[in-house]
Amino acid sequence: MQKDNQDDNISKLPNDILLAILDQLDVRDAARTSVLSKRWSQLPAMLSRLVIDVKNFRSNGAFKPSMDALIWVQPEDPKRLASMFHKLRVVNLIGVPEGCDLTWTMFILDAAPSLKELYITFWNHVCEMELDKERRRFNSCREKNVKWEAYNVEHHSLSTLTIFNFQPEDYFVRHIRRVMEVAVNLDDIYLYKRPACGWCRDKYTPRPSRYPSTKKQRCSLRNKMA
Amino acid sequence: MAAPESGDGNNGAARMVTLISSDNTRFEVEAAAASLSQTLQLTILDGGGGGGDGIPLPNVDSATLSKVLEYCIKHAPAAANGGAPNATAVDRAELERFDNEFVNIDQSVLYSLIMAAHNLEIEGLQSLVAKKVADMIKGKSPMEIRRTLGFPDPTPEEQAEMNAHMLEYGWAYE
Repeated sequence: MQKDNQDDNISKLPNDILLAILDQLDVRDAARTSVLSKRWSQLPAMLSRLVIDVKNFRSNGAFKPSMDALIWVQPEDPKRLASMFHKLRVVNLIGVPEGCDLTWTMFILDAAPSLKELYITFWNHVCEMELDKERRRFNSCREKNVKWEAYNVEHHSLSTLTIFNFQPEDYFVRHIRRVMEVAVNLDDIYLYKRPACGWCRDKYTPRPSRYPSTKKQRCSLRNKMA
Repeated sequence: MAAPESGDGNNGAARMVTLISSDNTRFEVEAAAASLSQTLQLTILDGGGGGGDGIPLPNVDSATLSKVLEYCIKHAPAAANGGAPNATAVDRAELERFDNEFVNIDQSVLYSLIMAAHNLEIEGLQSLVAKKVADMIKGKSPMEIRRTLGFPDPTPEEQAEMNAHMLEYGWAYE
């Protein structure tokens, strides 16, 4: 752009279009646009979709024992965040470390009453495992002592829960049961062992594989859920 | 572009329609290309835009419209294939190359384009431009975003607000 033409033409665009642009950004980039002007500061509250990459909330590549990576949601009162989240219909949590207490994801249900679809992808990716053995060792979260309050308010909008990199471990199953209890209108739960991944599509399996894939797994999972 | 003769209206592939920009320039394109616009599609299905009539587009100037049509003509064959499930990797790579080149333009043109794509409801073009603008924002500090997007230099109050934001939302600045 020329120096003499320094109008911020972008601000002449209507909200719909600015939101379409914000939709393409991850939550950190979008957060940084909120200081551009008063108008931009009000845009995130109008978003209907949010992608949170939990890996971005690490400090310097290592998870602190207190899990400060996630602490940004901890001190906030869900009622306060509800004004920011009340339009959200789709939330996609990616890079969630394995082995963590999942109670914090319930917080999103509490803060986003219109949420219809919740996606959770655990950090267990073939391509990342190869590239990031060291990082992964750091991030595999063994700290389970963080206390998240259990939210027990009924959620009436959520209709689908999708989990990628599902493992039939107890804490996964417990968590799904908790979501099932709270989300009274939940229709579908999809569990995948591997997500379809643009990065490694060519090298590895092209399609996500469903869990349970055998009859035995299906029975065992049903027993755990019941 | 291939310019077959104005069809008789029964032959879908060859049918041409005329679009008229806000500054009264007439553009003749294949109906299939113009139909990438959800807004125009119904009018065209109803037989509009043919013959001497033309469809007036009072919100789109000729410079923007010719750019929009360049996109539509390039993407029409793939769209006609239903998202081109049988397109070859070469075709897809060629479209991708075209798209990258296509949005490598001045910001003011980008904004006119995304407005037109929004008004004409051309989904692919809208997300292509949105992605391009998002790429100009990604990984930058608020100050860098301001400069890139041509915001005026911040007032002292705005500067103070930026500093406060950085302190309060440290996670967004790592």
